[in-house]
Amino acid sequence: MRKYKINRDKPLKEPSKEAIEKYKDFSRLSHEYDRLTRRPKVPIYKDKKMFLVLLLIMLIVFVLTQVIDEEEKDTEEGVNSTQIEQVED
Amino acid sequence: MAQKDRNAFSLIYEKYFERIYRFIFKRVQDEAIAGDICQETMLKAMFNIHKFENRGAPFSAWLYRIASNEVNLYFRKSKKMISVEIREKDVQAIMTEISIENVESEDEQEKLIAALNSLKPEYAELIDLRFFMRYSFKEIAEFYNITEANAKMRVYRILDRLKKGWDSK
Repeated sequence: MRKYKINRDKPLKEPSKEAIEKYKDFSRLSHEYDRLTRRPKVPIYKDKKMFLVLLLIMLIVFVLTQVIDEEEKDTEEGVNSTQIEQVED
Repeated sequence: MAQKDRNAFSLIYEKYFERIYRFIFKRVQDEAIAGDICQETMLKAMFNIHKFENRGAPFSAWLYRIASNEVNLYFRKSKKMISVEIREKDVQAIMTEISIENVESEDEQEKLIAALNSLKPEYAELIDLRFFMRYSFKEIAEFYNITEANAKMRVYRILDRLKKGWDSK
């Protein structure tokens, strides 16, 4: 929050030239930019924990696809057998 | 960012740092905080330079907008109250604009300050730019990326509100 205040007698605060020079530092900015954009040193698959997490995710996906495939097969077989029964009748 | 782009940005940094720093300082009134916000502004500009579109407004207007957003973000995050000093004659200029007769009266001036302090931040920003930072309507228009007529309309609408509030007291 900021609140205005009237300055009646003193001159308004101005930043000193030294302060501006002190904070003006392109190499620090450049370094900060690099730090934020740098890739992680260890690739995800080489990180033990991340590798396990990835493996777990892949396992879950695999199991899910298997379950879905099984269900689809069952429903298809069900439809086929009812069709055959209808034809036989 | 390629080295070539980085060198180009270092020229931008060199050219605009002081102006942006002074702009931020006027609002936060602290050298260290202004320094940090200015670096953050430049960092955001460096990240988003590819998004800058030249629509006729000067490049500096884009930088000022980022700086202003950073200052607002700082005010939102920080819980402490910061008092921003303003010149008496700037307050008097607003009083003249909204036809308050006794511009010399300190009581009246304080009343106006209280009214300004109760303005929404986005309205206060416009008043700030126009009366305390002495921006022309053209500069305000460039700052917000709007037309000059629209900038005028926005400022006068806020002054109208202040006037109505004044008359009702």
